[in-house]
Amino acid sequence: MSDFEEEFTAEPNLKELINSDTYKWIFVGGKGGVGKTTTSSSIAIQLALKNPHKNYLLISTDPAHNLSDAFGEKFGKDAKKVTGLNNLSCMEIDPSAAMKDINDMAVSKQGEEGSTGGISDLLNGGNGGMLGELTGSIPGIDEALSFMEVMKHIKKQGEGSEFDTIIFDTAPTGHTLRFLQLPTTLSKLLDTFGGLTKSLGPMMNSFGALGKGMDLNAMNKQMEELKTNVEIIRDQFTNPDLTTFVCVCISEFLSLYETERLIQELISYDMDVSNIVINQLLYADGDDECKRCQARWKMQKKYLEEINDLYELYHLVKMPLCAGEVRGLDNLKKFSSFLYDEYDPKTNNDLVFSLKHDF
Amino acid sequence: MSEKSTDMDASTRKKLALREKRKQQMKSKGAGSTRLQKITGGANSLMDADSVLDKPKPVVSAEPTEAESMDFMKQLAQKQQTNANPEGMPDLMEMMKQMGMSGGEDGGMDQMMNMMKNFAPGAEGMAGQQTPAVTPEIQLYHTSKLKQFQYRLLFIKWFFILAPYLYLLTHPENSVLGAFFNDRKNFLMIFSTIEVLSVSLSFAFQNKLERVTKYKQTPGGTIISYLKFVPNGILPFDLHKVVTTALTWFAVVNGALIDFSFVIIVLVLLSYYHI
Repeated sequence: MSDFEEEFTAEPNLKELINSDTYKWIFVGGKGGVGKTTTSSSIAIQLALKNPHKNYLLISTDPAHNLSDAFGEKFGKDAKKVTGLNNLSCMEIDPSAAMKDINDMAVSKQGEEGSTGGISDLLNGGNGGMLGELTGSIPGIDEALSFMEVMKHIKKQGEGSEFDTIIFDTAPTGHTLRFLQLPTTLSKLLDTFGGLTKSLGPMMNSFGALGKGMDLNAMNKQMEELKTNVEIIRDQFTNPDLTTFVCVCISEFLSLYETERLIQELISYDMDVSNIVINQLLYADGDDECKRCQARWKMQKKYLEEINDLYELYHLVKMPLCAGEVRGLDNLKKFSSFLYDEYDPKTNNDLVFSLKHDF
Repeated sequence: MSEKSTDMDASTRKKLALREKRKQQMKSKGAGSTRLQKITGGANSLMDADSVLDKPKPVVSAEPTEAESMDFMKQLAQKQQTNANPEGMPDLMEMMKQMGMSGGEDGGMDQMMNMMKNFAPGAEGMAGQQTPAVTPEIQLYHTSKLKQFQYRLLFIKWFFILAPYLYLLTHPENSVLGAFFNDRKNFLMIFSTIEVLSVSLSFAFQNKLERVTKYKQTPGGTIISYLKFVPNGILPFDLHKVVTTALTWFAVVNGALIDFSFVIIVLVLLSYYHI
């Protein structure tokens, strides 16, 4: 291979991602059911194993969480270390729990100031509060809360964050794209709001008198702070040295189609995509007697050819379909090793049947 | 040490070269759609092959140039002079659209509105799936129908109800009005009843029209549309609702005051000519 060809050949593994010192945010996403959680957990484990001096946080932003199931231990809305891996923590963003926290804070504040009774008590008080119930069902609340979590870490970055890199196990494509659009949308909204407060300042002040104890200056200050943080997030998300998106797919038409759409959307947001993980490959060539597996592998090969052709400049990582579920830290460690050193069906075939079932 | 740094340089160089090549590959003209066509074509699929990358990107400049500002001011002045809008107020949003400035069709405000729609209940969040807005023709039809009704109602109220009533009231010897209507003490009660009836008729017609045109005209026009950009929860009360209610009441009081002015004018004229 000539030097020129070598320069434009991407290795079929995630070595570059795992060995990189610069990434702060790694998003893992794709169509539903392609193995996003397994892949994000595997990437997080490999990062933690290969860089023991660094701390990693794996956040699930999917409303249907399965990080706890993947690792075989319960994670909640606060970061908790993975048993057996000291430099990897996990958390699952739970909109209803987060809204309950916000609601509880509001109720305790109201308690300090004295209850006003009536409708506000009905909305805030009681079992979790009607407000919490209502806000929990707002479309896009998961994305907004995930974004709030990013904001928290952005604030902490200045003060020396606990985590060097945050990996997102994202929800299926539509949700993720909405989440990634949030910084741009918020930034534009805040710009418009800034312009409005300037032009409608006197009117806002007169209305301010109607609001109970409302401080417009403090509100403007908070808006400015929010705007600064949103812009930092937007800049970091579009910086390919700080943020990357790992696409996960399977070798089938719908998954390939959605992956291509996702990549194009991400490129339109100026986000970096350089790694694609292709899961659930059957490798049923050799002496596999299962006719169904052979037929399916034939179909997978057809789409693999297409993937190789379309994404020759991307790191294409091909992962096998295992006989057992990839759950529990030990199984994930075994499986994830093939993100770093590519899987060879001839020499590594024992992986398929060697996963433990006693997690 | 130097060998390691050379290795690092080589890998970084390769990474940057690949990144650049990927960008070129994706952003070359028509590449996005071609790639999607290749995928759908290979599978005989009927899925959409239009790419977001091939849609023209909005050119958004943060600050309009001096020439743009001058041009905008000229068009604003011309629009006011031509008085195309019955109220003499130029529709700024419409003008921005026509001018294709930031905030026009190419992006800015429109793009933001579309993005906000993506977060609305039931929205899919994917590009190209927004529900179509009410067309300007329907808005114009709605406004003109509403105004036509209001002017007709005002005409009937003034010249067929208030004016004859005031004439008869200032001539107590008439036998047309009964004792109740002839009693001047009951004037305010009767006047307010007429006002309530006319306002109710006006709102009933407006609601009926809204059901037909599926367009809701907000009182206060652009002020209210700007207030919609204030995200919920920032203010301790619903500013948008407060301003809308205030403006609605303002319109009702305004109407009553105009009618009262008419009553005074009629009374002055009657006292001058007949009494």
